[in-house]
Amino acid sequence: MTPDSSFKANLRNAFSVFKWEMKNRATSLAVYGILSAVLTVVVLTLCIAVGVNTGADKAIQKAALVFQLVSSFGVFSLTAVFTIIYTAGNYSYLHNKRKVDMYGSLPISSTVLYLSKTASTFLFSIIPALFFFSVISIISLILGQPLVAETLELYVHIIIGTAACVAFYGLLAVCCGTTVHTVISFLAIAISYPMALNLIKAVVNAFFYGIPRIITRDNFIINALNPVGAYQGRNVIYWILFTAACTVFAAVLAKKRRSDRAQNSFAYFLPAYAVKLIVSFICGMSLGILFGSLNALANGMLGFLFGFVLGSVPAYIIVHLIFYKNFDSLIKTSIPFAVMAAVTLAAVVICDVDILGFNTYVPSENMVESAGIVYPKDVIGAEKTIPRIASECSDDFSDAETIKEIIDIHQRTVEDFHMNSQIKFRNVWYNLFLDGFEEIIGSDSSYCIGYKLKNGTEVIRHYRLNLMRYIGSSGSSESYYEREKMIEEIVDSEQYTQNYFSIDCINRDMLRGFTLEKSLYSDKGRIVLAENEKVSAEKFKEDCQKLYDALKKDNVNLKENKSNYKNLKLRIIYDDKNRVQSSRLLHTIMQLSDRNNPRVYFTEDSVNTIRALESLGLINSDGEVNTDSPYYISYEQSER
Amino acid sequence: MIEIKNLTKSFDNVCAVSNLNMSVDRGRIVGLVGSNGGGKSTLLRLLSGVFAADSGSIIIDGQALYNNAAAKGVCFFVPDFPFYYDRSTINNTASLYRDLYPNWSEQRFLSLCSMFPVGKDDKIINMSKGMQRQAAIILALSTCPKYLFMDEIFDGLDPVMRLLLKKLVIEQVADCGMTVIIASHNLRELEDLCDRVCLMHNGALLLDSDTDALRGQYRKVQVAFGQIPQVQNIFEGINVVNVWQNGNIFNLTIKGSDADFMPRLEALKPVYISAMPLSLEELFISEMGVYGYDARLVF
Repeated sequence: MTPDSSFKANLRNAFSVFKWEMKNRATSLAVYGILSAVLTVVVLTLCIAVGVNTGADKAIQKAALVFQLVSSFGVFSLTAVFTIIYTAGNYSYLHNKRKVDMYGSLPISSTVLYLSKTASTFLFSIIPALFFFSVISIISLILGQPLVAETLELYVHIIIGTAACVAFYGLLAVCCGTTVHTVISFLAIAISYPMALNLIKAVVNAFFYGIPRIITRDNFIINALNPVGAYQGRNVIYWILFTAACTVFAAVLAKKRRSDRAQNSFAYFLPAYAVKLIVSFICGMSLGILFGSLNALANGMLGFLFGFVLGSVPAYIIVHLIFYKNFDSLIKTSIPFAVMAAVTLAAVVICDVDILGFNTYVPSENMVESAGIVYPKDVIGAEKTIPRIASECSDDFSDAETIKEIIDIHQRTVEDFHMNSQIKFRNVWYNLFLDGFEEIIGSDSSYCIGYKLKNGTEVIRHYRLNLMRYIGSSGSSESYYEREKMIEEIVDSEQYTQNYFSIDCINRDMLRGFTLEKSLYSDKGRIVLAENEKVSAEKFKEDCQKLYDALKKDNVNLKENKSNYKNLKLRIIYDDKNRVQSSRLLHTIMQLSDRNNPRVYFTEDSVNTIRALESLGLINSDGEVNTDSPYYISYEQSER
Repeated sequence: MIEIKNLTKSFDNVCAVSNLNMSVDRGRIVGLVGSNGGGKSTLLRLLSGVFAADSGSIIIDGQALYNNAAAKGVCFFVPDFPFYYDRSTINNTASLYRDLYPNWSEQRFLSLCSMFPVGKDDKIINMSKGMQRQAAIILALSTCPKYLFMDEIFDGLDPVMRLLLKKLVIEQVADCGMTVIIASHNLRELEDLCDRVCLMHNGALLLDSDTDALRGQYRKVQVAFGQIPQVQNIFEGINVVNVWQNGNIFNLTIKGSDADFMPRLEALKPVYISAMPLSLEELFISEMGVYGYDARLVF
């Protein structure tokens, strides 16, 4: 019988290997299945038992929600652990001489074999997980609890995360000669790459202290080589492309790979170079920044240079010894290290010297067409980055007087922020560990300044006040407060209120509902204009829209106004995509601020709003909350 | 047919196979012998497509072998330490080979399973070395390969199983024209089985000859003198490959036929002279001694 090397034959061979792998992994799969099943049953039993014992209203449904979340995350974690086991085991055929003999002599091409192994690893990890997620979903639905967004997202997170991790590990497995080196390379790159990027980001933000944060923690670049980050479910397109690229690249390398490299250090030295460079960069930068911030050698920059060399060189040598087990080829392979060190040192010096004058640049009045200043915390609405906020505010004011004030504020800021090298290095630690912290806890006091120049270009800056206080800016308290006062004058203006606090900032897609209650003590409950079982979805949408349109007609805003119609407190509930996921959760848990449901201030003059509230049956003619409304919730109900 | 041309393979700074040329016709059984580290196992791995050569070529039935799934489908390699998963049995390993090897014969598989005393559903990893070898033989022969490469296949097998293996190999060569290359240090077994022997040392092929012709080429001669002739080179004119003296008795390995050297030896008037064919082992030791690889290294 003549052997066939067509596509169909390759597919058949790949499937044969896949079937056989499944038989060999049957024990691991069985252990995973048992653990997941037991976990699911235990969590279900506990939730139902505790729920029933509390005797609360809708106890079973609430228990089902807790069960859904806890068991889903439990299965998610178990899957991540077993993925590690399958992946390391499946790709070890490249690293063990006896396995190399067996697989290398099989009538299957190395590329097809590699792809078959990759597919089997991925499917063994995903399919059982999806099966258990489905079981959990069905049980939740039977118990009357629909699937929540967090559970649904897990389906996507686990598929994307597993695919990215398996593909990246597979690529490293092809490059490395042993499983140990593969695991070391994977962990080293996954952990140290984001650290290195964060260091670079912190240095840039520290030395150019007015620079708007272009790269946020959500940006794909921060986790570009950390496939574990794919489990977060962000930047899905990037991770799909990453997985495809790793798989294709690995399949090509597998074809050319010398199988006799098994149980040797490397088949391709790319991971070794990558790990050596990244680790030595981190060690050098960390020690260099530490010495710089302590002004070692009586000069921040000299201290940095000394620390960088002292940190990076030994780290490079140690990683080389871990991988190569001897000093052979240390000198030969040091050229990339030398290049990295030279580029890093040069870049830091250039940042310190600020050749282009980024930090001190303030445009003159005659160059500016329009300008603006805004607190990012005042910006509500659709997802916006700091650079975009700063860019959009540059249109806010075109009158000469306000432009002059903004330029004055900017000039004072630049003078107050003037720093020497030591302070800049100290600044790096702040940017590294506290970057974005103020936003998370809701005490962001930074401001953006934007200019549109007459030549068509744009100048944007972002200054963080807490940073200035922390690092000890060269400005005095008087200049700080004077500057604050000047900013407040602009922020309190009608134009600013119109730009950032009008109801228009919240568009219809973001709207989720309203709440209405008396602002003074009342024994009445409140109106919650949100989806509930008494009102159909269409009716709720219609009612919401009606009230929103009325508020727009009255041009109400979200900034504090002293008088409220009949002491009614109206809040608008909306989706704030401007907040990172972690801080949204924190805010939800701790109710740190009313940012997601700010007050809407309306007076007797807001006739459209009052008419809408009455026609929707939310309030009576005497301005009291209507207890007969389907949206009414009494105090007892809301406490439960 | 296997054609090897200018084949070279190195590992870091060690040259395992050096500029090797060889061809093997169909239906031959070739014994690959040589010193430790001589390149035998490397050559088998090159032949079976496990390793890629640094230079040169291996053509099997007109096709280059490496990474060629179709060409590898008619070859089978039994390494010195075959790998099995913890759960592997003969049956579940057969399920893989059944799908991958186009010439797999279920009938042959069942017949072989009945001949060898190993359980089809027993875990191979729990078997003794010899039984694991038997499992490997069953699976190998069931794929009905046109080219079978075996590394130290006799290691661990008892005499009865060795006899069975030799019988099965010869049958399959005779019936199907299978070509076999066996690397082994068990020269006694190879002598019975192989019709051709290749001797490798330091990656090079020192000797490549039919077994019968080889035996005919070399003689082991024992010569005893009453008084050793007082000449500088006693055996001048005789193609002596190796000589070992014990008093007045000389043990010689001579290349050539009786007609070539006997008259010259008799002319030396020895008191005793005896000539016998060399065993493969003795031949190996003699040839290797020429290249400085002999027991004097040890003593």
